Amino acid sequence: MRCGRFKSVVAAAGFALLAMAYGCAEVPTDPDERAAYDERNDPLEPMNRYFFDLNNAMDELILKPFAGWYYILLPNYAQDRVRDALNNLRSPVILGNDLFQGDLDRAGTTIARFFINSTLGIAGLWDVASEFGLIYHDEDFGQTLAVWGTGEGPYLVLPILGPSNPRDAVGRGVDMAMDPLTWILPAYDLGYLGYIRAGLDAVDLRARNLKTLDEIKQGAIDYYATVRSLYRQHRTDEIRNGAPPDAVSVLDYLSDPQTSEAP
Amino acid sequence: MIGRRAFLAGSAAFIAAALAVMPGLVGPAAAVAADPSEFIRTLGDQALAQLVGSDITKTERADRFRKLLVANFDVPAIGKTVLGRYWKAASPDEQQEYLKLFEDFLVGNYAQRFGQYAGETFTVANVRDEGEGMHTVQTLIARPNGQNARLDWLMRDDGDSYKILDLKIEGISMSETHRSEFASVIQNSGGKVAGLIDALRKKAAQLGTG
Repeated sequence: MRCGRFKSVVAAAGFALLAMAYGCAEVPTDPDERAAYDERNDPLEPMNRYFFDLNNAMDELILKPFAGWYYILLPNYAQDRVRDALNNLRSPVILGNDLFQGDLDRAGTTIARFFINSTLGIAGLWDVASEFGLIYHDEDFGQTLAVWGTGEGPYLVLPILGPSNPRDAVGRGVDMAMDPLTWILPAYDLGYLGYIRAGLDAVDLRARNLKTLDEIKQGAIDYYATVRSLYRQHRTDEIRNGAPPDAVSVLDYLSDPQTSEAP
Repeated sequence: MIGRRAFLAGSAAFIAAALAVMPGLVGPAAAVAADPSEFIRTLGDQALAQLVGSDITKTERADRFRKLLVANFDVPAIGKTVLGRYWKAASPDEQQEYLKLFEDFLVGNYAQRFGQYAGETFTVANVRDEGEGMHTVQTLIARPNGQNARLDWLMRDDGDSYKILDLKIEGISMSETHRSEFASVIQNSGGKVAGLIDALRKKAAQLGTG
C-alpha cells in the first residue's frame, strides 16, 4: 500500500516503469525493523541505488575528469570569477524565493547585490557587494515549499541530477520556470548558452569538492546511505538558513549518562 | 589570534593560550576546564598545530589524531549513539569489539583530512547552554581561499573537563551521518550487528588503522 502510494508520486515524475522494474523495498512487519524502515524513508531504494551507481559511473567518466582539469588548468582567481558570475545569474531565482518565504531583509540583500555586482562588479564577475557586508545566500523553491510546510517525501535519486526528493524535484522545475534566462535565451536563439551555464555550474561545483567527495567515498562503508544522510541534513540546514536546531536533548546522545563511560 | 586572547584577559584564558602555543609539551587532558569556549579554542589550536602540515607522516598524524580524539571526545558514548537501536541487540563481546573498531573508523575517516589544511584560523562565535550540563560551542574556520566553515561542537561537562559528543560541520552532524550509514549496513546484513563489525574490520584494514 505504502509503496503503491509512493509509486504514484514517482509516476508523476516519469519513473513508474523503472520503479516497477526494480521494485520497492519490502515493508517489514517487525515493529523495530518497521521503525528502521520508516526512518530510512527510502521505499524506492533498489531503483535509487541503481541510479546512484549510474550517476557515480558517469561522474567518474565525465564530470570528475572535467572538474579535475578545470581545477588544475584554471587559476583559483579565474575560478572565483566564474563562481561569482554564476551566483549573480542566479539572483532572480533567489530573489523570488526570498519573497515567497516572506524574508524581506534577504530579498533586499539580493536586490542590492544584483545591482552592485552587475555594475561595479562588471557583469557579476567580481562579488563587490560582499565587501560591503552584503553576503551571498542561496534559496530555491524546494526550500520555499519546506518553509510553507511541505514535507520532503521519500528519498529519490534522479538520473544525472542526483540526490533529491519529490519536494526538491518539483522545486527545481519551478526554479527553472522562475528564471528569466530560461525564457529569454531561447527567444534569441541562444538556448545553448543555458546548457553552457548548467555545465559550468556542475563542473565548478564538482571542482570545489574533489577532495571532500573522494574522502567521503573512501571512508564510507555504505557510500549510498552516507550520501542520503548528507543530502537530507544539508537540505535541513539550508531550509533553516544555517540556524542551529531549537533544542538538543541529552537523551539523543546519552541514553544513560551515568554509564556512558563504561558501556 | 594572540591579540584577541589578550583582549579576553582572565588568567584561565591566559593559561589556555599558553598551553595552546606549546601543544607538544602539555597533553590535552591538562586543558583548563574554565569554560566551553576556552576548551574548544585550545583543542582547535592543538589540532591545527599537531595535525596540519605535510611534514608529518600519515602514521604520525593518525597517532596524534587518535590521542586528541580519545582525550577530548566521549568516543564510547558517541559509538553507542551511532549504533542506536542496535546497541541493545549486540552481545557484550560485540559491543566491545564494535567500540574498538568504531574508534579506528573515526581515525581512518578523519585524521588525514587535516593534511591538506594550511593557514586556517579558528574563532569561537558563540556558546549555547543546552541544559543538563551540555553546551554547543559554535566556531568558524576561516580558510585562506575566503570560504568559511561553520563547526558546532556539542559537549558535556564531565566534572574537571569537557567531553565532546557531536561535531556538526555546516549543520551536518558526524554522529547522525554515521548512525544512518551503520543502520543501512546492519539492515543489509539481515539486521545483524555482526555484519557491521565485519564491514568495520574490512574498512580498518583498507584504511590501515586496524
